[in-house]
Amino acid sequence: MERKIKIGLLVFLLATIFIPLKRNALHFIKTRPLNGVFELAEKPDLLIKNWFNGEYQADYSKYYEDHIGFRNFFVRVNNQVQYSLYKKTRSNKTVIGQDNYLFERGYIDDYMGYSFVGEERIEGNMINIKRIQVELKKDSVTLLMAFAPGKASYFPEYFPSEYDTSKKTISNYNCYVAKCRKFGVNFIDFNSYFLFLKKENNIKLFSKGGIHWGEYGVAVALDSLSKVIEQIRGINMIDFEYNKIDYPDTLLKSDKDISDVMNLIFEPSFYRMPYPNYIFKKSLASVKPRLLIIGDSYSYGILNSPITKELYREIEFWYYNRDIKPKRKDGINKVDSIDVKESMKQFDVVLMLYTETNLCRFDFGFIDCYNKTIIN
Amino acid sequence: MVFSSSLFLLYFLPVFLLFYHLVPAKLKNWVILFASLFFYAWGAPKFVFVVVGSVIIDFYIVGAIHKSKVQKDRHWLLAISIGINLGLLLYFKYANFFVENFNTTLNFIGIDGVRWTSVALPIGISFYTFQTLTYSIDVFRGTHKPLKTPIQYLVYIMLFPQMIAGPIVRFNEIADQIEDRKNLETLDNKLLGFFRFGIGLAKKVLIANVLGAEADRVFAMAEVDLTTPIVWIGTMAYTFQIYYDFSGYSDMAIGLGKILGFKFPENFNNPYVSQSITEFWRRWHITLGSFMRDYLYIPLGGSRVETKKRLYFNLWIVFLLSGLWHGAAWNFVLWGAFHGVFLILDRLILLRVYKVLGKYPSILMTFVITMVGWVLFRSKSIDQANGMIKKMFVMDFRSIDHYLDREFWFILFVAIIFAFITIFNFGLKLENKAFYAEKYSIKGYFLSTFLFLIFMILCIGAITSSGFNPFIYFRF
Repeated sequence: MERKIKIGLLVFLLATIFIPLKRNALHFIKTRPLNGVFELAEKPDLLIKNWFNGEYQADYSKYYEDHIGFRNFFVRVNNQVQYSLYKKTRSNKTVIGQDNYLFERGYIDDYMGYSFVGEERIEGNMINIKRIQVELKKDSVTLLMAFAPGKASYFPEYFPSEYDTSKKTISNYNCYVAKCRKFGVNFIDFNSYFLFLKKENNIKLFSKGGIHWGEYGVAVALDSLSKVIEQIRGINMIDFEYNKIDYPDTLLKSDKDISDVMNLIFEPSFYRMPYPNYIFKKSLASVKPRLLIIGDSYSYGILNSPITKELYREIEFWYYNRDIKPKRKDGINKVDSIDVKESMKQFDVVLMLYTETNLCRFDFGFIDCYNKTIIN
Repeated sequence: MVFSSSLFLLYFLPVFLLFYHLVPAKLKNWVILFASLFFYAWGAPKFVFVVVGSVIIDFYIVGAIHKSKVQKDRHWLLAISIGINLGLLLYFKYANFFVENFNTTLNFIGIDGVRWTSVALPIGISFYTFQTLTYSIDVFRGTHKPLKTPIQYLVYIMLFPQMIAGPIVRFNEIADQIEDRKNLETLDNKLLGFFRFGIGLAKKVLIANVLGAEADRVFAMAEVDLTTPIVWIGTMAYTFQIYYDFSGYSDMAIGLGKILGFKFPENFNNPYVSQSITEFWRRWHITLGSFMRDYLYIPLGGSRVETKKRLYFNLWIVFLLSGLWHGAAWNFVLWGAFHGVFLILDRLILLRVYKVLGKYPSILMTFVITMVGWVLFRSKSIDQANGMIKKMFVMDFRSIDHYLDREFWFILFVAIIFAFITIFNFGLKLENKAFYAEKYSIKGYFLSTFLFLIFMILCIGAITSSGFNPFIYFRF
């Protein structure tokens, strides 16, 4: 009997290390896919040259690493251990703050002033933006800078303990706002507005597990945006209000975009988020401007909102001043393939929307693109 | 290929073990040989030919030593065998170092250095050389008769579980097992082997790698950013990293050996509970220490020499060469010399001091000396080592941000517990039960199987996740 048990255990152990290999070959038993953007290594070709210089071995090892059976399970186990025991995550640039508030490191770095690019560069950018604003105005195009709210600015009290907020210095965001004021650039500071709202009421504008503004936050921002546009352009846009605010058990994907890429086995529990229902008040005098957004991922909140579809006539998005979304009818989907100035003239409002973490890389080549167009 | 990779754990190992257990006994060495050649060629695709060629030549030279009755011929043949094997080591491991230093000297006296193309260091060459030396010398001394076929000799030298990082298995310790290991291929040994392998893997992946990240961070810092606490933390991290890494690798090798029916010698015996540096070297890299003792220290005269000066000289030579064996750089030589000095000091005075101090202060003092030694070992240059060692003792407590996360503290705590647990009797009992028992109870086998599974899942998770850092979306 004892011998049989030992044989059984030995066979079990051998089978255990074999299972991932067999699973790889037969693809049985499905595992929950991994979230986020990542690249898997491709299987290398075996050639005499790449074998003898060791390239094949390195590439094949990477390929095998990326394709082992039950990889999703193994990754999730490790992530769960890291999260539950050490409050750590392997997803890119994500950090876990106090009370399990999730942040991206770049947001905190900008808030703390670690990524400050210097006053000179920011002033140079704003002088150019002001010039473009004046030029576009001649063609009745309103250029508007918008500072999307940053989660780091909104929740500094939940930063991980490794950050000492008393050591905060001037950030790119602080400097950009000051320079907008100095040079008379049209701008909306959603960041400070959100902080004001945070003090005024308890409604959640950011989730614990997401990095972007919640749907309610987007609605608040769109309300302010339309008021500013009405004021600058002297028009009357469609008004809207909330008839009901829901707090469902499950969050929208955008409200847990960081926690999703942490790829845990057990999803962390977060507070519920407000999801408003809207009533639109149209009138014959209402104008629906054409809107071009040049910005970062925060723009998706605006683009995907039902409010935007109702308030604006035509919407185009230049993602980081690079990709045109949606793709144009002629198939063009890159900003560097178009005449930037002429394209901008097709819109009534150009909104440049960036959040704190991306301001260190502002203008994403926009000023050069615009200038090149003029020279051409 | 390293043991702690998905490719080894989930491809090479299961396929190899399947074949190994399916083929009849007479083909098992062939399976080992093919697997070992593939394993070695994976990491050293060119050098594998040099190894195989030199091993075959050495086999016939050593065979001739055994057959020859003429003492002078036997000496000549031994010299040729040692010359080939040491020659490979000198060329591949030390040529760059010697030429570099030679050129520095020439430049110093105003002469242009000689042109030299750097030689790539083949993996495992230090272990390969020592094992070939034991074969030649053991046969020469008549400790054991030579192996019957070159295949058997190739199996001994290339045996993948221990070829890359030891333990150094002497020929006379394993010769009989290469020819026949039916008696050791028991169910108990195989199960214990799996468990030992799992423990070794966990030591390497779950402890050494975590502490290694902190050690790397500290040893990469600029000297101006270092403070006394930071240097001690980094050194502590490295002290435990190198122990858990190396002893973990030895555990994996010993475990794999057990699964295949080999009995490899133990390589570590709780070195950080040593009460003197002399004791440390009986507990740290035991197979290197005993190799150096039997094949270098004793032939030099060992302790049975006429003067103390000669004894100290012998100790110094052994430790200088031990240092140099670890790497072709001056910091390794210094590390060897550092240990040599403390071995001499032990004999002169320290052992008596330790006796007065008692067990725990002696352990602490030896541990601190060992840590200082590791700074020499880990540093990239003598300048860096010098700077760091100074920082350890100058009491620089400036406030510098150096965040250490929960994982580091937790793993450091675990590392300390298991490194020092055998100071106490219950720790020794636990270790004897887990590591050195000939067999477990059935309950013990179930528990160890469960632990093996947990270790494997955690380790594969850690290995696989190390390169998986997804973005929420692509950015520019």
